[in-house]
Amino acid sequence: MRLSVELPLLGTDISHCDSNTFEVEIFPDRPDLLCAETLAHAIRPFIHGEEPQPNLEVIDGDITLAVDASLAEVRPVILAAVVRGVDVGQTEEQRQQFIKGLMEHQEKLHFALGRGRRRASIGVHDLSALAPPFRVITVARDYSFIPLAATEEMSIEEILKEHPKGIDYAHLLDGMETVPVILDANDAVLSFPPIINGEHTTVSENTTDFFIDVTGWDERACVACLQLICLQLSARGGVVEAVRINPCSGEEFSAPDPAPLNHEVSRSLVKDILGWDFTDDQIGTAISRMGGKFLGGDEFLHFLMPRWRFDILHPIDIIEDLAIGHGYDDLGSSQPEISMAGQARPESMLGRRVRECMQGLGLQQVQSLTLSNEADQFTKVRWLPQGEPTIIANPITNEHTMLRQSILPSLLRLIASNRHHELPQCIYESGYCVRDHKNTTRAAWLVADHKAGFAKARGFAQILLRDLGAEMATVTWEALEAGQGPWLAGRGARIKIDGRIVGEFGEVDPSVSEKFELSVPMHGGEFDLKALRTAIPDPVI
Amino acid sequence: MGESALSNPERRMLAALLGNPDQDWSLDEVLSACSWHDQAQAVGAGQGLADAGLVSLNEQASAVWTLGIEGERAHADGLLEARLWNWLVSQPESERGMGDLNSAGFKRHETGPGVGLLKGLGVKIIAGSLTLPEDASEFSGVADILSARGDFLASLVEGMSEESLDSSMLAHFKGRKDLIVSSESVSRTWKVTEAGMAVDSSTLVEATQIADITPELLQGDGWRNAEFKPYDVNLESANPMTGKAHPMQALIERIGAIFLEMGFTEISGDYVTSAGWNMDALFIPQDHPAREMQDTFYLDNPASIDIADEQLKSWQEIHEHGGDTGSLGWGGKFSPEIAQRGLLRTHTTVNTIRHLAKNPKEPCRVFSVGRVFRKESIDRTHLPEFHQIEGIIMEPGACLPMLVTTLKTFYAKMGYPEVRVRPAYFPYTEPSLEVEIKWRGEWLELGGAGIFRPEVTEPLGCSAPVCAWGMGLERLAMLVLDLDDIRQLYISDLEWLRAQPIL
Repeated sequence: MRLSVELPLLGTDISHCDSNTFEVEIFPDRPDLLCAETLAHAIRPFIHGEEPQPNLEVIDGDITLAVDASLAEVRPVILAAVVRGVDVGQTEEQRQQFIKGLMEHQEKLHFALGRGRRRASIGVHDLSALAPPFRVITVARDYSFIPLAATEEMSIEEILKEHPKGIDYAHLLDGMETVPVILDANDAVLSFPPIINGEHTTVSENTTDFFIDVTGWDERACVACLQLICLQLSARGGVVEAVRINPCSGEEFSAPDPAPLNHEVSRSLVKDILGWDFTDDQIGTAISRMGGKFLGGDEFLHFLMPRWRFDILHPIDIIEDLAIGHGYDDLGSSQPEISMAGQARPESMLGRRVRECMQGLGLQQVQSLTLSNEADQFTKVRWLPQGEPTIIANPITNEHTMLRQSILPSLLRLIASNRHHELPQCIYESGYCVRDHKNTTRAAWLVADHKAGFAKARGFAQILLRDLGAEMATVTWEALEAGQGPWLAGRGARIKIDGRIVGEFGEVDPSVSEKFELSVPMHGGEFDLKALRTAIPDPVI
Repeated sequence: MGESALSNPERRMLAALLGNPDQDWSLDEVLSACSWHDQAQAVGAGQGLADAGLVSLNEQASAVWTLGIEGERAHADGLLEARLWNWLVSQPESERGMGDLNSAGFKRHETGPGVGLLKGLGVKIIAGSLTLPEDASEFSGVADILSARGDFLASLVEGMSEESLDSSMLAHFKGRKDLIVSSESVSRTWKVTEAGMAVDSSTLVEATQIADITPELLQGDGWRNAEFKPYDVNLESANPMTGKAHPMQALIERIGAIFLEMGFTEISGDYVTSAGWNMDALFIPQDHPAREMQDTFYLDNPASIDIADEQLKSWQEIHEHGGDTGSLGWGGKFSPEIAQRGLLRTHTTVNTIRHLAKNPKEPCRVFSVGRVFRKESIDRTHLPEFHQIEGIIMEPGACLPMLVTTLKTFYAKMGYPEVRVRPAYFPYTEPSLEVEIKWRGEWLELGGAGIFRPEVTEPLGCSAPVCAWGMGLERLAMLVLDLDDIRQLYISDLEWLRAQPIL
């Protein structure tokens, strides 16, 4: 009960909760909360006030991993750890639950931190089946071994083409002639990262000692992955043992690094962002709840945060932790101080006036999608492209392959989908079209009725011009040639104001209606609002 | 109730009844006195007068007998026993056998009951032959009975009340199949009450009642003393055709007005933009899942949009190692080609960022409302384009409490005074929060907010922290309109659209 109220305050929403299940939604910035053990590690200080544990406990060990220099070009970051004596459970059900939890954690980290295993990938092995020391080398594509879930040796080439995991991740090795493999002292293949483990290292229900490898291109992601798997296993009583690593470049080091990371945050930035001076006590309490430690400081505050907190890129991330640790419901209040006058966009005034006019004509406003297609926009209505059309590279359907250049086709479609309703149907839309990849505002009407002829259309056009305050002496009406637009020959017209085209209207040609599967008389019109705004001055100004 | 409210038929009937106020008026008498032919008119007027307390109504239910199917046939062709009798008396004695009956045209199903009826009238069967009664008085008695029975049937043609019928005759025909049937009938009488007698008969002159008012009527004086037909206010009329705003438009107007009241200036931008402005400027890593082809509409035309080298370089530094912001960056290699890919904007934040890029030093409060595009298949809850609103504040002193206070003001102006915030995550804000409002008793997530990350604002040269918040509009529209299918908003059923309240 307490958990369901307080857990969301950590930024982890409960999506489902019953007597024995908690489903928690983890935001992508907190990959350190992706399994029950690491989530519990964060909850203990946040909710139960326990002493935070920002460090991983690691003992010395004598297992080594030597990385060949050739890895620099193929998979430069290689880390490893050993965890012994993990309590995997008493009953078979508990053990299966444990293995399932471990595998799921690994897959979630592959997605969240590994970005599909490119930045980082994790291999978990049964240490008892292996003969240390280990080494990582690169091999040619005809090198072969028995991969996980296979019974016979397969070559690297075959694995990448035939093995399910090989097919999924082969693209990560595109263009590489040689690929990495991790071997033990007997030259048995532990792993072919980032694709697949060797068969004989498979973790079983009896495995209590683990060897973990993490490889990739992104050091921070690899470090976090290793730390989080170790944290998960140590929560099960496992003892983490350091592995000595001889990297492809640089000095020997041991992994995982037990020490938390030191972060420095300027006190003034805390005040700038959170709006007030936090006392050192408040800062200490807040960061403890978030699993870190406050070391003090004057101008600059010093914090120890767990190395697995991959999300901390900048001092601002510590500041958010302070806010969450302090409580979002107790942030205080503050009003903007600078007085400002809001300003609507100049075109929104014309938009409102056009809508009032259209609604005064008894037209119902509709809104349709901007996504359209060439047939609707050009072929069916006999309009030519106006400037460059915006074409989608990855459309979902052939109905939505481009952005519309005109609105009228959307209205024809809408009337078509409403053909089962009674007439009259009188609609308009005012909105954006895209020409030459730029947004431009247009408005169109369409009326389907028994007597929807040209005279009606001209009446609508007259009212629009009159209501917008056009000087009638500046307006010219030009008959459109047959086949120019959706209008019936001799029943379509273009309107110019001071010689500038502002729109066109007419009686819809039945052969156009037919293409939208419509068989009712219709009249319509479409106007360029930008042109209207230029041609007709605002009557108030 | 005053008599002025009486209808014309009520006036006529009351005037007639006042001609003899002590009488109980039957329906026929009323019809005749009022020169009406339609019973319903008399019953209706009588009911109206009774409701007004001007007459008393006495209703009596009784059984009415009319002809059944067989009765109507018997009335037309004669009763079976009469037809048999007539045949019998016209036949020579030697040809009155049962076989002769059939050859005379009597149906097989008629002969059995027919002979039984004849027996009841005194005809005997002697040696297979029908024999007439010998006694002359008995003989003529049969003829009387037959004619009485025929008359009885004839009297029922229009229906007769049970009391006015001969009970023995009624009993006889009740015993025979389908000759007569009864139904319930109400007989009414009306009598003027004291209140009715007090009515001044001069007010009972029938007035002209007018339904449609015409200009011709109004131009003369006829309308002055005319009566206007009252209408039944409960009757529904046809809906007139109207034009009104789409609910999304109305929501946008309402929200735009709130922003303007709060001193925000509206900005806008193009749907077509580059991945760089849409994502890289917001510090969304280039390998972020949301940037993949299955989530974003990329473009063939324009496949690529030029971005100044200087801009690309600044994003490159930020992404690879944090530039000089103090951030670690995302690591990896930044691709200028990926940044220049053309796409349909996936959020309106791109408007905000471009505004800040152009005006980095000037404190501002701006907002935008517009469509954004996501590669989603259309179903009940998804559309590939929808509306987002977004507002930002940049000024010295902009901070988390200012953001929360502003959010509370904003949502209170929308009509949601109860607001709370929760930690959340967006790639381009830190701290980030989720806004929840109390809507009809339930906490409801209605937007996201935060302070733009330094990796976003510092390369733009922003002089102060930037508070930002936004929300999608369709979800709110669906709640307000109690809509469970988002398609209704953009692929609308026009009847539905017309039926929506004006928001």
